[in-house]
Formats: sequence, C-alpha cells, structure tokens
Amino acid sequence: MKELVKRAKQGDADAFAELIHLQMENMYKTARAYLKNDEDAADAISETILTCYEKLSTLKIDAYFRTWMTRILINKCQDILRQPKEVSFDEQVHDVGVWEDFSNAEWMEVLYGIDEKYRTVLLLYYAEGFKIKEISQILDIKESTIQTRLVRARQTLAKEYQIESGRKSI
Amino acid sequence: MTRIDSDVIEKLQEHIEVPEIVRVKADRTLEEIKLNAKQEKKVLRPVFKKKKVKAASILLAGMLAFGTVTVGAAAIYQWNQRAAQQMQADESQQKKLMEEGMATGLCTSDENAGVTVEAVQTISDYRYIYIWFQIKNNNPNLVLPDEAAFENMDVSTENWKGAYGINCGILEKISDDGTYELRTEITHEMKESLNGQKIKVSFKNLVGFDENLDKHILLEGNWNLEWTLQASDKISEIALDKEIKGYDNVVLEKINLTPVSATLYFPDWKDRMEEVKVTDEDGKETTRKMRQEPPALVGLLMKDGTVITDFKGGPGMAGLDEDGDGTTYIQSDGFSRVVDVENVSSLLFLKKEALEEMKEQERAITREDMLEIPLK
Repeated sequence: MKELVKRAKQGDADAFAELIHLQMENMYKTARAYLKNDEDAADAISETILTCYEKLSTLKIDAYFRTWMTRILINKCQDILRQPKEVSFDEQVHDVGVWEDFSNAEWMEVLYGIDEKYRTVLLLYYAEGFKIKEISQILDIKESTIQTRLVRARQTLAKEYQIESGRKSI
Repeated sequence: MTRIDSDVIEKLQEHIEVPEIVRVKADRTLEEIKLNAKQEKKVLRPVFKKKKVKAASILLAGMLAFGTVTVGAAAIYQWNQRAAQQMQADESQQKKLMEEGMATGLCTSDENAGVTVEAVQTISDYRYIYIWFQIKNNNPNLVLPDEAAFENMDVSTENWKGAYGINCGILEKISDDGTYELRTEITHEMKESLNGQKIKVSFKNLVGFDENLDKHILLEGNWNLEWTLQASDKISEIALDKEIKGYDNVVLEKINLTPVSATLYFPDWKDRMEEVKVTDEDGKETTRKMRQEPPALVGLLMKDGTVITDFKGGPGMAGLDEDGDGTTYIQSDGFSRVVDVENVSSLLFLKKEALEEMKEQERAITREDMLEIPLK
C-alpha cells in the first residue's frame, strides 16, 4: 500500500484509484456506522475521495494513509449529520430499519444492535483492525477511553445477548 | 470474550457488498479525478525534442538573470554546498552541470513576519526540477517545532501552471541560529523548454503537526519568490531495442538519460495485465487485476567497473504513454544523486528469479541479482 500512496502522491491518479478501491469496503462499513442510509454514505465517501486526492500532498507519513483517510471520512459523516434535512418518507422508513441492500441486512442488524457509543470503536477495532492508538487518533479520544469503551462494549453485548437468548428460551 | 460477543464481532468482520449507489458514485468521482489529472497535463507526455544547449549562452544567461521578488533575485555561479553534498556532486560535476545550465546557485528571497525564505539552488532537467530553500526564522514569537512545514506550495512558469507532482517536505533544521532547509522536487511535463522562463514559487502558512497528525498554523502568511529558471534540455537519448532476458518478452526500446534522471520506454505494454495477490487492510488476501510493472532498474554499471545503486529515491512517474501511441509504458526516475551519464556503460536490472525470491522474503540486492543491458 505504501507504494500506491507514494505513486498517488506523485500525481498518479490510477494508483490513487487503486488505493480507494482497496479501502472501499472499510469506508462503507465506517460510513454506515454513522449514517443511516446508503445515499448519505455514498456522499460521504465521494467527498472523502475528493478531499484525500486534493490533500494527499499534506500527508507526511505514507503509512498513516488509512488512519488519515478514516479520520477524513468520519468528519464528512459528521458534516452530513449536522446538515439540516427535510425528512422524507423514504428516510423515515430507513430509520426504522429497512435496508436498501438486502444482502447486508444481517450485518446492518448486528451493527445497529450495538449501542451508538460503542459502535464505531468496535467496528474500527475488530472489523477494520485499527490499533487502539490509531483509533485514538481517528476519533480524537484518549487511548484509555478507547480501551474502556471496548471493555464496556463487550460487557454490554454479553449482557444484552444473554437477556435476548433468555427471552427466546422461555 | 464470551461466545456471544465473539459472534457479534465475527459478524462485523464479515465481508459485505458495497451497494451499487456507493460504488457508482465513488467510481464517478475517481473518473473525474483522472479526467482532471489528464486535462491538467498530469499524464505522461514523453515526446521531448533533444535540444543542444550552448554552454556559453547559458552561462551568460545565468550571470544576467535576476527577478522581481521582494528582496532580490540573482543567479550565482556557485553551488550551494549542502545541495552538492546531498547530490554527491564533486567539483568537476558541479562545474559541468553549471556550464550545461542544469544547476544554478541562487539568492532569491522573500520575507514575511520575520521569516525569510530564500531559494539557494536549482537543478533542472527536461522533466524534474529540484529546488533547495533556506528558511531563516528571525521572528522572536515563532518557535518552529521539529516537524514544521509549509501548508501549501505552488509552482508555475510563464506558460505552465501546476505540476504533475510537487514534493515539498518538512523543514530540516541546519543551524541553531534558526536556519532551516527545505528540499523540494517538482515533476513536470512541459514539451517546451523551461530554460529562461520566469518561475514563480509561492508558499502559504507555516504549519506544525500534533500527535494526531492534525496540522495547526504556526504563522499565517505568504512567501512569493520569482526568478529566471536555468534548465537543461540536454538528454542522452539511447535507442536500445533489447530484450530483458528472463522476463516474458519484455523489450527495452530506449532510455533517456540525464545527470539527474533516467526514463525508460517499454513498448506494447497496454494489455500486459496480471492478477496480483494483495492483502487488504483486514489482512485478507485477495486478487486484483493490475498492470504489470516492468523490470526494475536497480543499478548503473560505470565504465570503470563501479556499480552505482544509490541513485534512486528522487521524484518519479510511471504509466502508459497516453499522449503518444498509448501502448508504451514509461518508467521515469529522478535521481537522488548526480550521475556522469557519459560514463554509464550498462543498465542493471533485477533478474526475474531474484524478484520472485524477494516477493517471498525481502533481502538485499546483490550484484548476482542484476542482469546487464549494455548501452552500446
């Protein structure tokens, strides 16, 4: 990946496209941790691609590309969340859990089953393989807080699923 | 970790399909980027006419050149010694490159809020421009951290705006009196000679970086420098048309050599694609169809038998010759040191079997790993 970053920094648009394609699934997963519909996720990812291309020369350490890109993506997601919106019927439907892409329904169900406080941290740590230090840089939160959130997230998951499985067994 | 939360985590780790709406929008954005890159002449344009440069006229131009910047601008018939050291240029090489108009010492500067930016040296061939700047901080209220840089650098000449690539790194402290050095490398694709053109370099804002790599402005301001660029269009264009043995029908058509760059031409490359195993960021192995890379030039065999291997590490570009026949692959490397072109006897490529071994396990390249292509 470093080689692709190096080439992209030299202005090689093909190398940049390769880099983005490699990250596309991770970008989508992260975007959906924040945004409730694919249209907004598409906007956030598209904006992130443009910003990364424009600002790539400011990335001082090539190995940090993925951390840097994820931070930009999360900022874009937060920008979209801050935008005032007219809520359409479609969006109301999305919010109550009808997923645009049925093939990902189960994944979405699990993702949105996790408390919002812990969702991003769990996703970045377990699904995307970021280290605690990197997550701390991405989310601008202390490393100790990330560790605490991970522990609490696991405790909460265990508790909730025990209750859920208890109900099912009755 | 309990069974239950590990189930959730495994589910989160599962591969999911990126929906079409996301893929289409992302692809459209990438296409726009590629199109803009082309329109801004950010694609390879390999047809450069060989022009003979008269040393005397270049010298005269160098002596007369001066610009219109804040403090003053003049070319100096002397190398900046830090630049000479970094480029491993001995005295005879320094003199030769000066006479050919490729290297020029400068004293062109601009001052803003107690910070002076001075261009002190350029080396410029038909494809790459190396510029050394010295930054002097006389502002008592400004403390520059270890990793300080300019937020933005723009370069243009009279008939050329924007560059294929600008490598503008971090300021390096070179003296305790508040003097820093900035080495920049500019990759361009001008068909016309840049020699004798006014070059404008603008820097914006001095910035530092915190532990999260977020930049913060240390000093707002602009520094604008302008001078007459000395550049050499002299190229040793060597037709080879030689097969590189061990590789699957790879022919090196020609090489363009200058003391600071090598540009290699590999014909019929458009359809040379291969499935490459890549590891994504989750550590999953996957395959991707990518354009084959040509054999790597790893050494230069000189006429006296010495082998130079430390010439890489400067700027570079690679890709299909989209403005030419569209099928030739061009690999270009700006050197990290000066090379005596007339003393290069052979090009040394990495052997295919060594390449395969190194894919399995990284190791240092030895002379036995190199395959020789004589220049005659």
